[in-house]
Amino acid sequence: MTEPPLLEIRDLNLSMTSFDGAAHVLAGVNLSVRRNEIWGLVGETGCGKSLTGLSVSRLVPSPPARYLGGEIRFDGRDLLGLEEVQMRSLRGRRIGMIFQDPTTNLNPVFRVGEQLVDVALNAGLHSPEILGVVPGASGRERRVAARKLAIEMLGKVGIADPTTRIDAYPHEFSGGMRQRVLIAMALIGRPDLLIADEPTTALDVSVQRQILALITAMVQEYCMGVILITHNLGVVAQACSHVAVMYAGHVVESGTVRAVLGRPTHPYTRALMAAIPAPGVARGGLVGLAGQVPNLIAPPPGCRFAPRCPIAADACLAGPPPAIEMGQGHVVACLKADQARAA
Amino acid sequence: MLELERVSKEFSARRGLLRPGPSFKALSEVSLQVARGESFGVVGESGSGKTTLTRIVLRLEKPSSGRILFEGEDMARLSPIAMRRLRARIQIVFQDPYASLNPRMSVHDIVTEPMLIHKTALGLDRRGRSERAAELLALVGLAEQHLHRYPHEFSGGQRQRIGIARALATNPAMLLLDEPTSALDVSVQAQVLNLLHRLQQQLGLTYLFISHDLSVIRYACDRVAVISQGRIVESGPCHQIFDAPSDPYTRMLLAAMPAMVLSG
Repeated sequence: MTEPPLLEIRDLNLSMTSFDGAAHVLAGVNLSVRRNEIWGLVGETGCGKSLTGLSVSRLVPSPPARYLGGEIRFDGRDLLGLEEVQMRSLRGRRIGMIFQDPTTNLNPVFRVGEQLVDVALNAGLHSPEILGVVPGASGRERRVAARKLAIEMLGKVGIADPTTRIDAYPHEFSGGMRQRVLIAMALIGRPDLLIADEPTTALDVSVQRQILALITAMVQEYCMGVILITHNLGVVAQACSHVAVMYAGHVVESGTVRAVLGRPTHPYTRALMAAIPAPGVARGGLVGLAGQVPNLIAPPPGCRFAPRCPIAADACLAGPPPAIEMGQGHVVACLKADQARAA
Repeated sequence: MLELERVSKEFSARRGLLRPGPSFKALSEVSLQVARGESFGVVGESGSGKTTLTRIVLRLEKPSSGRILFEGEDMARLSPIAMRRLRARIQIVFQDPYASLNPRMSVHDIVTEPMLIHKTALGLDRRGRSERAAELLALVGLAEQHLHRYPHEFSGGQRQRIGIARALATNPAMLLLDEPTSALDVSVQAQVLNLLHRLQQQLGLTYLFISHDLSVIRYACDRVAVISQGRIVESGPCHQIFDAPSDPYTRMLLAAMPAMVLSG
């Protein structure tokens, strides 16, 4: 417990310049991830979950983005202060990424092996021990080692006959298999932190289950910390250890999956769960969320959920809600957390 | 109301310009019956034949064999005029409300277009069409003032409501719902599902509900058919299929479904 977190996002504020003015899209995001933890980052479209993930790998183009404040500490260093060159030595090496659509994230004109070898060689440039070659090895030796590593990784992510499949083109793989290739690619640099942005959204449920199981197995093997971005609370329940629920650029509730999904407290989390067609809900019995996501160019003062909240009071509109600790790391950003829980 | 009798569809891949290649069976001997006023779900994974099924029911594709009966009439035997009349009776709501509304048409034009196409069947003049469009918007929970706006001014959920209003424009008896909520967030999905339920009760509609999402089907449908590789592997009342599945594929699908139940 005394080990410092692998990643600590503190009070991250991000604004996006648009034609209509600056939109305050991340307003004080806090999140800390330790090794062996899988954090589910959930929320609906536009809540800032992907931007939070992209900020960690510093892939948010700026401009239009501008960081107004806060820090992203990875292994003690603030990533927001790093130069692009330094970031490049982290991406693909210490920070791995998997994105949503496995069909567009592989280059169709190169064999998957070449694409994996490229990543391995780049990772080897920064940490030669990954390739397992002596320092000063020739380009050819490194290439051979990289290919060996690529085959090993493909086998690990469950691709049958990796020695032949490595020379296949992306179109020869199914969607689920391509996502496996991308996971192999993300893990080839043996990252400490993995950011998976909707890794299973484009896949069928049966394939989704396999991919989530693969990610959990890899976390145990490599002792990684993971941020799994998703809009699906079912995926969180299936694969994550912790969860942070986001709404309009805020983390409204966070904690272990058991605490948050077992005793959801923030009115937004409760609304989200009430909207899921669970077994036993009679037709017409689902509760949708009335109203719309606030305009982030002129967000409501105080709690951003207040205009749609069933238990909002005047005090909720006055100032940003305090983060209330409910015990065992379960944090709820709501002035009326006690009342919400009792309801 | 709708009946499919051993419907098969084969697509043949062409090897050369004139040489036919091996054919691919997208649907094989699919039989199902949808009763008036019920919600019939079709659930399957990608590539299972769901889309081919919708295209065949809409008669955008002709089946290679088998018959499709709508209100007792064989679709293949209908004259072009009768077919046109029938088309007004079956309408579709598409999956992606961002792609299925023409960005250059106002909501008024989008909703009145089907009335224009089926002008003879509906017999509405220009003013009648506009009045009906306003009624339809009210029915799906939008206001009259939205009539003269364009699709980009609406959120995903509102666009799907416009898509539903358009589908209702010709007074259909049956709606084909092709993944109507899979592009929406859950809180919006709940609203759209409730809207569809209310419309069904109000207008006595019959739904053929296509989805890959088992929880949506369980919530919204009376009966369901599970389709895999072009075949219906199991069908029956929803509670039976979900509580006591007999086919191994259905069981696998249900087990893979991410449940909100926490283990341990």
